[in-house]
Amino acid sequence: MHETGGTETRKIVDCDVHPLIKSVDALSPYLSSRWRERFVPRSIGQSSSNGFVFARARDRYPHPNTTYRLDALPPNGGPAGSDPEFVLSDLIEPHGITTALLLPQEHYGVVRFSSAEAAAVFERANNEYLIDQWLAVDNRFALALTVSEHDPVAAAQSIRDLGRREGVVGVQLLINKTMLGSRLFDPIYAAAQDMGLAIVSHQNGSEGCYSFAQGPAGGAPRFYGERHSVLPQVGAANVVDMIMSGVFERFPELRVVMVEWGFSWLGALMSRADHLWMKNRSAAPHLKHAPSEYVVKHFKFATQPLDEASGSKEFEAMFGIPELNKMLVFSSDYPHYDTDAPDVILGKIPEPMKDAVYWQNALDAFGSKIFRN
Amino acid sequence: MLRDFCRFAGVTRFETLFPRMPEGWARHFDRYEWTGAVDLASNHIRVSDRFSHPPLEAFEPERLTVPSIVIPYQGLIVNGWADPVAAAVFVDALNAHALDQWAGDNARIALVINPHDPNGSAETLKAHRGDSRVGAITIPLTTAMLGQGIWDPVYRVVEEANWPVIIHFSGVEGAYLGAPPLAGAPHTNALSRHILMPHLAESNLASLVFEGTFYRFPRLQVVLAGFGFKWLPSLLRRMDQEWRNFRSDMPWVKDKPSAMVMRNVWVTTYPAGEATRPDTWEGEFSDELSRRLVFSSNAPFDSDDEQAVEAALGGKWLDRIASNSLELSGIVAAGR
Repeated sequence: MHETGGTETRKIVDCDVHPLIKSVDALSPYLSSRWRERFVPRSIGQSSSNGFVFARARDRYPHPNTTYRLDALPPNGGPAGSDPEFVLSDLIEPHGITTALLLPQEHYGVVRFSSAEAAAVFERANNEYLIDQWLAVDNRFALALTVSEHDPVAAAQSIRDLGRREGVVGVQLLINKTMLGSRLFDPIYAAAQDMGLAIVSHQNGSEGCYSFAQGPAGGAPRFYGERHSVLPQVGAANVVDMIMSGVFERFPELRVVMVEWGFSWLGALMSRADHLWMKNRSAAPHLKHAPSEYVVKHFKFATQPLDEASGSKEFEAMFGIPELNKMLVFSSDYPHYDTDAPDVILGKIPEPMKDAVYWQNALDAFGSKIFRN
Repeated sequence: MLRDFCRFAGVTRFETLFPRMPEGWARHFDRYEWTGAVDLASNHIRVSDRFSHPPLEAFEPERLTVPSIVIPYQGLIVNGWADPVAAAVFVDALNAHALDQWAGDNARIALVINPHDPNGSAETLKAHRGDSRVGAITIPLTTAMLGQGIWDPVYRVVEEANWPVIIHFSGVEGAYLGAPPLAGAPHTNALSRHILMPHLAESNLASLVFEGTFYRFPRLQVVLAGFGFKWLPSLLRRMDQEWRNFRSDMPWVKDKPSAMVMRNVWVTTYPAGEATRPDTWEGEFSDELSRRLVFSSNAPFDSDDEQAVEAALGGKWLDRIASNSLELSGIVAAGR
């Protein structure tokens, strides 16, 4: 195992790094023969440049280019993000990253599975693979176990089974048809809270694609760029739903990290929620505090993709959202096409917020286990 | 003086409209469940059906103290109707009533179009060209996004007549089957729905921009009313970035999306109470963008007046909004 990197003065936690399996065969040791037969030779295929299971309907919203950086392809083959050693040399060491939170991407395709059993088996195999093949390689890797809504009780059990493994710091909960405020998720939230694991939400690609998936407001966007412009709405809607449904009254220690949903809409959302709640408190009987107080206490929001402001005044205002310094965490989204280069983005963070965004807010969300050394 | 770009008026009894309906249709609508639902339809925000609202007062245009665009809000709810034919009859009767009864020196009517039939609506609108009582049109939102070509016949008439298009939610979005969804999945909490309504404005604005609507209709002016306005800078940055990243995927979009918004789109102040502490957000509004904000009262529902706007946003913004309102009024007037 390598030694932890990072600078002496400032740790860096990258809350969005996507690992992929090298080939679907890699999961074979984690599957029974019955499931190996189902997954390995048939439905998924044996080679891929960017993963084996997809959530986004690629004949509906095809990406205009490639979803990954060409320079992130490992020299020894396999999809971008499939070689932990190359991720270390390509991302982590050059940028002095102390911890990279792994948000596995192949799980995203699980939202399309119709079989709850298949979803659980695939998720479990992939989680165990990453624990063995990535967390064991270097102590700068941390993992969010991934679970879906197919069978929340089974998901909760999986969290309890694997949640104490070294390097496991969170639970990536896939958004599918049910809003995250639903009591359906209570077994998952209970397990996460008991185990001290933060819930992590990352867009999975299914949004706006299927009748069983969530989508943006209004109707169907016409093409990829239009859809991508309004995708943050789904994250925002689930933030509101969790608060209004009383999740944080039921699970007061729960922390949620929203990744790749943006953050610059927070100021408008929080002030609107507070304003309308003040006018009509009885419409949300679960709430004991203003909605924005729940946001600040329970949520973190990742930086990528960082908005490009037109000038310093707008940029400063973007970071002037009340109490943003308590909510913002850094993310690169490596190895995707729109990776935010850590040196560029971290350099842009206003100096008074740097420690908070670099690592302190991640520490608040994930606890001290986010640093494995 | 402010000008109000979103003031509502409604009938207190649906029966009032029966004489304006084609033969036989009054009987169709004369059923106690529907006539008795006038209160339901008057809760246009539809925060919750469990809240009661006092009966509406009859709208009296002579009592308006500022020039206002008056939206017959009960027409908006046809976006949740299952019967598109009945919707046409209803909005035609409501529009006729509004023009006769609610237009005045300070009140110009926003004609509600039947969103289930854009072609038919365009033909109906043509009959109103040159009618000085008409100040705008309003399109109840459907799942056909506003940038789609099916709206072109409407925009063609509207642009020629120099009427702005005012967009306001009806309140059934995200609730009634067939009405536009809100972001995510169905929300059971009514307050959540209300909080998330601005997403409808975002999505339709993205549609208008990315579908190239403003190239086809360069003089079209769209007013997104009642959604607040603080959400706009974040969306513009996002759209500009998508355009920059994927310009080759949308070769028909030749300008930065935000530039189109500066020319063709307006947002309104209500609810100003969500925009207190301008020091926390005004830096996101360039001088150019701040010129796109006009006043809307939302009266006679929960509403803002000039004092409320000044209390929330301050005198500097109030002056700017008054100036912007004059500019939008001038753009509209210039075409007549």
